[in-house]
Amino acid sequence: MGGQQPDRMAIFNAKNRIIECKLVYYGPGRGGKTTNLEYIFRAFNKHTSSEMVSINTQGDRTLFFDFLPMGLGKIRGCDVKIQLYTVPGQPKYKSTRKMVLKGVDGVVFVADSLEIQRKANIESLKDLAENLAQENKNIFKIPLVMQYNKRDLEEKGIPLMPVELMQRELNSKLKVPYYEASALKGSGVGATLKEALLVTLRHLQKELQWTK
Amino acid sequence: MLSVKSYMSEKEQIKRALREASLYKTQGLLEESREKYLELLNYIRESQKFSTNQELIDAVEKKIKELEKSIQEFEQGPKTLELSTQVQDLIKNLFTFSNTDEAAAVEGAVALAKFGQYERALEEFQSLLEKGIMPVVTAKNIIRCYLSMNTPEAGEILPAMPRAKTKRKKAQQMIIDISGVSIRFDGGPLKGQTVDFDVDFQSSNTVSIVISTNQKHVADCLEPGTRLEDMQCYSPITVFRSNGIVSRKATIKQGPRKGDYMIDITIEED
Repeated sequence: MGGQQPDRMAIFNAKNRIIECKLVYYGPGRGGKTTNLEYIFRAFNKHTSSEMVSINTQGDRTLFFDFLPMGLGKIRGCDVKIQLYTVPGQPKYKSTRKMVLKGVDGVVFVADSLEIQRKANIESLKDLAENLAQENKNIFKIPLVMQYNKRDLEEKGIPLMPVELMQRELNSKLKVPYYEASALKGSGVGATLKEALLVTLRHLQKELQWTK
Repeated sequence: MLSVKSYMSEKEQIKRALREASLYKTQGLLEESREKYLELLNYIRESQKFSTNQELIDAVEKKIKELEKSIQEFEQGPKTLELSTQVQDLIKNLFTFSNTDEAAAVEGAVALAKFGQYERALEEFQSLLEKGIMPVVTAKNIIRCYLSMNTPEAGEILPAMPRAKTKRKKAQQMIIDISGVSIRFDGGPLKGQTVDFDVDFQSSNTVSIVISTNQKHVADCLEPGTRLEDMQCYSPITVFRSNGIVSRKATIKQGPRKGDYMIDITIEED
């Protein structure tokens, strides 16, 4: 609807020394994006400035998006505020994903380690690249971190893809940092977020020169 | 894949498959869970040892039926739902990026519509229209909201565009400004998708649209000679359907849109 919307970047208020940036958790449906945010909300409650907004439909599937605002405090004299979002992973919600990606500064791609989700991961990554292109952004240039989620299920004898295979299929060209994780148990969630924040803020520093 | 020749005993294989199928269900992977149970059912039926175990077969069949019911419920469930005013306000706030108040107000209403909050979006658009804010864009979006809601108002507002058989306007008769077109692609990489374009220029029945270099895949689908069936054309006073043909394609050589594609579409007479 409407015409093309302006390309938005992180907001940097030089006068008040505030920087606001947007991080989107992307990936196939039921891959653990919401579980990542729920864990972050619980574990990093010192940094969360308000409630997490989560709008679900039946079966706990994300229908619109999840939203979690965070404050990182002062970094080099700047008040850094982060907005974390998830997108609905089901293929039919492509237009919602496009909407949530507007103005994105960094992406965490939550890949599902379940063997049966192999194709869904590849499709979702392709969808991300297409949607970023429509936002005038390049998947090879945007700050991006890969997370291989549900690694804990190996203990239960559930067939998972080896990390090497996931790396080959999802990350051989992108060559971005990656983390093994279990969003349900929390392992790897903090490390993924920290890396994503690091690469995003580093990228924004180059773009906005906000630490000068 | 379940295999009788595997090193595991048949009982172990069945237990393992049950565990897998059950886990997929708890993860919300309903189709995958159903597939696993179906695979297991075939395995049991072919097994010498278990094919007579009717209790086991019944239990697996029951699981499959339950899953099929859940899948159907999910597929038939609402694609969107009416959100609270608080969440709608949040959507307006989060998806508004323009610096000017007018553009931001329109953007907020567009965001509401995109998230399926048509009633609230309509209220916003109508208020904007009354204030004379971006009337063409606002009117266009009001029509789209009504169409998406599939309400009788859509028929009243769009006498030229009934939902069943559309009476086409002859291009020669319409010396009206066209502000936007919606093109549905029937083939190529965008098959089945509808893409909206703002019209940048218009000369008689030829409209020009500009496509960014980043949208090369879209521009590639619009080569000269491409026929565009059933385009929707938006003007400040009406919306109508017509056929069109790509009459020219060029690359912009200079200015801020250097490198972008300029595509002329001639709207055809019936």
